[in-house]
Amino acid sequence: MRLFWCRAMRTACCVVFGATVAPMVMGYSPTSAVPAPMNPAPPAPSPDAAADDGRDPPVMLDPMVHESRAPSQWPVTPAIDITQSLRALPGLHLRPSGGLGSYTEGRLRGGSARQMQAQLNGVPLRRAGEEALNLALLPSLALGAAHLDTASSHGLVGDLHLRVAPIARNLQLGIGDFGARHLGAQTRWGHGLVAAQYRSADNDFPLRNPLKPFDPADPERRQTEPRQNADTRHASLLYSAPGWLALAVDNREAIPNARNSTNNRAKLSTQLLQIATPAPGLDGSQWQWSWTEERYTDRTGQLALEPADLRQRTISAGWDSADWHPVQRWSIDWSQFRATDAARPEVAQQVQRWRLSGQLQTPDVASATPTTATAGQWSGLIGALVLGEDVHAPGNGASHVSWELLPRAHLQYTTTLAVVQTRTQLSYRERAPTLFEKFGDRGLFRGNPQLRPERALALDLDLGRINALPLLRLYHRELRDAITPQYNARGLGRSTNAGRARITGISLEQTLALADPWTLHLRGDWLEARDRSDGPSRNRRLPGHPEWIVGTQLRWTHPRLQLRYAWHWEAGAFYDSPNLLRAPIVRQHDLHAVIPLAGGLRLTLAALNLSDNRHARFNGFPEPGRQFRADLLLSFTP
Amino acid sequence: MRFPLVIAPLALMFTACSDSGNGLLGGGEPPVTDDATVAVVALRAADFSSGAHAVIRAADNTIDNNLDPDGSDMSIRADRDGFFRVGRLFGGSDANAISRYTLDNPGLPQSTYSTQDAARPDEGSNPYDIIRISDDRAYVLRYGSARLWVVDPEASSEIGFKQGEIDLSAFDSDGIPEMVAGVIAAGRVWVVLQRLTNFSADRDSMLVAIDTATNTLVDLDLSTAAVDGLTLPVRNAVDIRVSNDGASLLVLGIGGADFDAQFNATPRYDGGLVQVDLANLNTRLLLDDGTSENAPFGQFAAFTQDRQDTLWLIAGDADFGGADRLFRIDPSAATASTAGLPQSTQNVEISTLAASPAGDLWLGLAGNDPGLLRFDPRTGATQPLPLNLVPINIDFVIRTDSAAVR
Repeated sequence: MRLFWCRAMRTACCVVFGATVAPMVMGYSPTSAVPAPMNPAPPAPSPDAAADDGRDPPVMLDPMVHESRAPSQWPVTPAIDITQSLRALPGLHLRPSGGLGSYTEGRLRGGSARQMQAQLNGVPLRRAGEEALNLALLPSLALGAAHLDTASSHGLVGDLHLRVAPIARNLQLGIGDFGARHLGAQTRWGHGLVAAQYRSADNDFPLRNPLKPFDPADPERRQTEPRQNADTRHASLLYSAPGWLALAVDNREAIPNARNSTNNRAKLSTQLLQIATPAPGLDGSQWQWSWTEERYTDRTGQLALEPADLRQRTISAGWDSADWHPVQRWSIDWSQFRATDAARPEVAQQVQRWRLSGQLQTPDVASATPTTATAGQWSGLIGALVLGEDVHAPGNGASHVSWELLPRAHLQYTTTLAVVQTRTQLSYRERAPTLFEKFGDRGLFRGNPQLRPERALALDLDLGRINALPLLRLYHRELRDAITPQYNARGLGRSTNAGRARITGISLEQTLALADPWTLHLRGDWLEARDRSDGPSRNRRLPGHPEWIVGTQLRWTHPRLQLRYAWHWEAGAFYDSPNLLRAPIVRQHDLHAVIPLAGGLRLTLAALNLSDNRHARFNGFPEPGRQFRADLLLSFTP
Repeated sequence: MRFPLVIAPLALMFTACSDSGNGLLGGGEPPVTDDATVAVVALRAADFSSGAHAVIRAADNTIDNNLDPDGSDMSIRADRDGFFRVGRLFGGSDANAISRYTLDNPGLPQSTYSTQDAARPDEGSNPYDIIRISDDRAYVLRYGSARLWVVDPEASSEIGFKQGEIDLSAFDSDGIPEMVAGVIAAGRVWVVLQRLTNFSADRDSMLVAIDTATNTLVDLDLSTAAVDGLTLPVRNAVDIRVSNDGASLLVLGIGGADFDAQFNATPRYDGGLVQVDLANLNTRLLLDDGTSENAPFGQFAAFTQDRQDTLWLIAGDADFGGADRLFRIDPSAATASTAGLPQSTQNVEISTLAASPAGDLWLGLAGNDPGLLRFDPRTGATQPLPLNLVPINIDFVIRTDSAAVR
């Protein structure tokens, strides 16, 4: 996916390269959760929670759907839009490239999307050396909780752990502006949950197009026109039970161009099948299979100058010890990647990979709520990944096998000073290059088979009250050998290990019970992410990363009505590595009203981006302005 | 013989000297000093994430840097009291548009007019250059279109910008001839057509001529009934200029490339530097880029002719990690040499090249320390000018009120 997206954006929006391959570092981000005093009745864990690490109380995806006050009265209302669901997580920056269902990447603590690994119920959706996950692939209606882990994580910066929602029987449908439609159904099946979801959107939201031809009737180009070729469609089927996960996704996305051309037919389709089953003999361990088919077509060369019809297929099979043992975790898998180009049938790339991963850890290393330890307590983790790669050269059939060892370690010290609990963490982690970074893409961007893994050293300090989740998290990262694109005088690009970055940040999260029935949730991030490479962008801010992210959600709860006002603000981001193009400030005001109706029926009305703020987190790919949605949920007795 | 762009009114305090060879000043005209020379440089970020332009006073190398930042795909063309910035296909918010700036306010465009065709709104016009013919007429080379535009560069509003168009689709089988560069000579505008197919240089490039009096194509081969262009003995032509004596045109072709199964490009070396005699349209390969077995200079990238009539070439290894060299061309021997040239012009990443009206060469440098390198061939002196963006192209504005500069 990333390969296609990078390819599409290579010339249209080159900031993507700078942004996504921009250096980043790893870190530890304990579970983000509402502090315990504000959350006396945490949501009941999913029956399949054992598939996840089970140690971290998760943050519910959206305070709107948080069941902290009266779960019986307020059943979960998952958001159809994954960015709405996840944006309460401190340290996480979401970058949608357009409207509902458009390509969306998640970036953790100033890291690139490639440096964060996503897992669903503990099953990795992308593995070491693979591209970043498009979050729009996720079955948003079936998700119940999420948290970030940067202690026992596999991603260079951290892991995004997503959990399937608790078992429920309901039917949900909704409509919205710009052709948004969705339909979802969930029910119990055996000991698990089956969820089906369909979502589509035209995303023909109005925009001003400064690149359109001169029109005497609109010389200043003030009139809006609908966004062209931005429709999305998603269908998914999910089964989740203790030890089991099956996910099938069919996701299709049209990719608009900067000129908003009406004849643009560029499309990206992704089919994903992910299956995990219990492995007999070692309780808690799993067999895991996956199959991903991606196709990018741009027959008229609207995005990247020349026509394209590229296909990629990745299949993998492996075993993961998962929760088999509290102090060790092992996994082994094999995957095969194959890429073909219909425009150039003589070209085919095939790579096989083997991964063997093992780690030893103290049981509490990834605990979000540190054990009270007035005298101080040490814990840690040590592990390594062995990555083997067999690259088949097209044409002559020759193959080249290489091996890489990627160590990782994490050490932390927890102590209590008066009423403040502190946790200091030191981490080292590496990330394997992706196939795009190693082998490039059709001559526009040449890979570098000699790439080494990028390395990161992180120091974190968490501060909070005793037995509560940290209120404040301070982190500092040093990244070395960062995989960074470089271009020669004639514009030919190649990945190199020349990047360096220094990242310092503070994350804050708090929920306050105001005068009943008011509740305020606050999320804030300050990030100082600087390029430290020996190049012209030295000391510039890494592109695409806001310096500030602030989000507040004010909730008013009544048995007959629940209202929520959400404000989200991002500032201080640049589109480009020289920091000449400042991204617009994101100011988004959302209003939700949840109205219980008779017979288990509930109506949710949403007014999003009320101030009609026009912004684009990817340069040239605007997001929609003001929009309205309505959602009906019919709940049945489980 | 030189080809003046315009007869400058007395009130006009500025003139332009285009490095493309369609400028005012040349060997037969009064010498221009650095005091009067202002270089305007199009820039791109090292990773193509943005672009801008810089204005540099040649006398003291004072730089106004990173002006009006936008996309990374643009070019600069000097014009009278200022310059045009041509926003190409990926020029950001000013893509497919031409903006005009003055030296008094070089960071704020006086006007920005689209080159997109209302009749073909989905076409990416991708303008490459603007060639001024007269006070109220210029030609816009639209690389992504079949139609060259006739425009009024002084139009006070966008409605008066486009005056007409000239269809060049007949010169390429796929209908888009890739008009890449042009100059004025002998009362005609000469336009180089690359004639690519899906960006593959599978045909020889071509030269067509337009009669500036009538805005019509000139038949360059009267032996056929059709209106013909002049087929050049090189492929993937990228630049054209008028020789200092005005008797010929010089065209550089960089040649095509073959891609292997992994899309690694191998140059074909079917480029070269071509001289076209304006008297009889005979072509002569002044410098051949060799063969894949024997390419003594590497792949050609750019050329220019300085005020002293010396031809200069940038060539080298186009692959990543490769480097370029500055060559001095000896046209009589059909060869080129680096002998006597400063080390700072050798084995570095050179992104562009231009000859200033005062006689020195300006080289754009990429790499970790992007910027400009001024080289005076008469003295051998060099002067680096650091910039934090990579120069894409350079053109020069001649100020006739140089005492008033700054």
